[in-house]
Amino acid sequence: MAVQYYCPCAGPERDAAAAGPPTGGERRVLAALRAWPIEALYYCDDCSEIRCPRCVVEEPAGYHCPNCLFDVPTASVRSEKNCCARNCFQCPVCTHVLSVVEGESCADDGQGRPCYSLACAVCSWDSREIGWEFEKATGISAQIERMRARDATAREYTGLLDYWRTVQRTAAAAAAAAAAAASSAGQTAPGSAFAGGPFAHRLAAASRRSGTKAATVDSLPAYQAPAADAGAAHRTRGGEPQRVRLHTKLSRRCRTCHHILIKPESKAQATRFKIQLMAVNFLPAITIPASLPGPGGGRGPTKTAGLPAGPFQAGSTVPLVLRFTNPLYTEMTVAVAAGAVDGAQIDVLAPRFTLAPFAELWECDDDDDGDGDTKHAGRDRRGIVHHHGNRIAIQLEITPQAAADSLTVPLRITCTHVDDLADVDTEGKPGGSGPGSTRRTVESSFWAYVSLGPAH
Amino acid sequence: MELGVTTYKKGEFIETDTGNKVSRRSLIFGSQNIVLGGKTVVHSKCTIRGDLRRAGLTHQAAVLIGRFCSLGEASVLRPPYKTYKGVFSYYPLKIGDHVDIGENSVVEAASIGSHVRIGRNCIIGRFAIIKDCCLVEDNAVIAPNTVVPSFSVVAGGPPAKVVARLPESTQELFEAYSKDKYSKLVPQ
Repeated sequence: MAVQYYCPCAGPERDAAAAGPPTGGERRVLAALRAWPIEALYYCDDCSEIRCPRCVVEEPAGYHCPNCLFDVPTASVRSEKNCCARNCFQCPVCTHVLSVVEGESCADDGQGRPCYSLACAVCSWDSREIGWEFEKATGISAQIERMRARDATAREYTGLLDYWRTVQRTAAAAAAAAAAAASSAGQTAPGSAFAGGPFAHRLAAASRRSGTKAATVDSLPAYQAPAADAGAAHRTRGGEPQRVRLHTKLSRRCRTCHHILIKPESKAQATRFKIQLMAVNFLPAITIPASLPGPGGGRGPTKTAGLPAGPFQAGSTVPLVLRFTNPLYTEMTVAVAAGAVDGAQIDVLAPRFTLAPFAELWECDDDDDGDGDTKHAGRDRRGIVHHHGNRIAIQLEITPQAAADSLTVPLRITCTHVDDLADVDTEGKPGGSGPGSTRRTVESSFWAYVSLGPAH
Repeated sequence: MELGVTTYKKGEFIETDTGNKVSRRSLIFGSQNIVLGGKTVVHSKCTIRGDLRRAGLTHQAAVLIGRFCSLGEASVLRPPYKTYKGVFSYYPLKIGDHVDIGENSVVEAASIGSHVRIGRNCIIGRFAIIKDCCLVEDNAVIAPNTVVPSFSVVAGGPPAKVVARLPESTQELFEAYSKDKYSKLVPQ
């Protein structure tokens, strides 16, 4: 059993036609893809609408390494190739983060200085297997870069790349002469500076094939060292350790009005948000109570009888109790209407009710029988099963017309509340007719789906 | 679906002034080295090794647990150890607030942040660091020295990997869950 909220968006485009409940089979599939638990949804208080992770615009608000939690300045992310430039490496075998271990002194070093290598605590892989040994325990990335720089093939590749970049720049500067310059340079270069290298021919061939197309150099793949050929064991155990990829902190905006919904603290360690507009803080939470106080306000909670779980019998009426919780500090009026569903008749016994504002005091109140709160809704009112603080449990009646294993109940929820902040548009008006007129009435409506039965 | 009420026999739990509930059937060693923040529940057969602490005269607690935590049935909390500069020693195990540890899970982490939920049958390796707002799925094995960044879901293993991200509302969600769970553990 689950309650999900429906976001009528179609990814980047908002789809007005899809705002209704699902009717056909295709629609139901679409609805399933667009239904989210309320925790995952955002709420744009400018549009007064639900926003799902697909209809928000994401922007990076900061980069950090997920392992060492170092905040990487945005300026250096590109030069560090989106990877951690410190000591964070992933095991080529099991992807666990490698740790730096102290080993015996390097073979070619007679002074007995310790030598460091990267070791995996999970699969005991050691970087000495591929000949990686380091003089210092810090700045491993820089040491690897230096090691790579000594490698002849890599040097040739970098040299070629630099060379072709200059060629490209020249070509761009003089558009008319570019074609001739690029092709002639391409034919002379391999023969002179980088003769015999494995990349020289390939580069020259590529340049000849593309002719005047100057984008060839940047579209080349990054240099990857060939797998170590010291036995089959190395090939099966993977290649070199990879640097840990950086994580981003994302800020999110409403795709329609660009109102900011999520703005995180920029520090990697912080979990707070400067701006956080989540649906849980604006819309009533709908839950299925596991138990309700027994009739007559008895203290002992009794299991709610007849909580519907499939298979459903045709023609028999089953009750469904839903609890609505108001997250706001203001009173909220909720209207509930059942949508059309194939093969079942749904009656909402309490189509309109008012939820009291959320107050910290009720959270501490252990007395859950709601005896003192009858003035708000009244126990006798039809359809309201239980009322306590900012929570109201209402009853729905479901009459399946055919036997079914599971049912999905679509509900159109419209909630209205008076904004606790004065409206900017009406505030400055002369002769405002009382405090009520300066406040904005906010109405938001959405579809919620209650899935019942063994499937959930 | 809301959480149901769990009842227990009166006398099953020892309740402290700060609202901690410690099962009489739990195995607590070195209780003078264990700090419970308040409103934390230690279920039956849960083992907490407060006796494993740094050698020598230190006043540091071996196991520090925050508020509104729940240590599941038959879970094991053991401070991590290592040999540093030739000296073998245990290091403190720190757990934040609103942390839920599932049944049969073994925790040897260096620190677990606040608002963390650990599933059943998990193993949290030595000196692992789990930051705030994380979810460890059932049967996950977190390798030693792993750092789990905030708002991540980890599963599988060994070694467990980050498989998803949690929504921004996780903190409120887990807090409400742990408070709800505590309030629904009532004597018969």
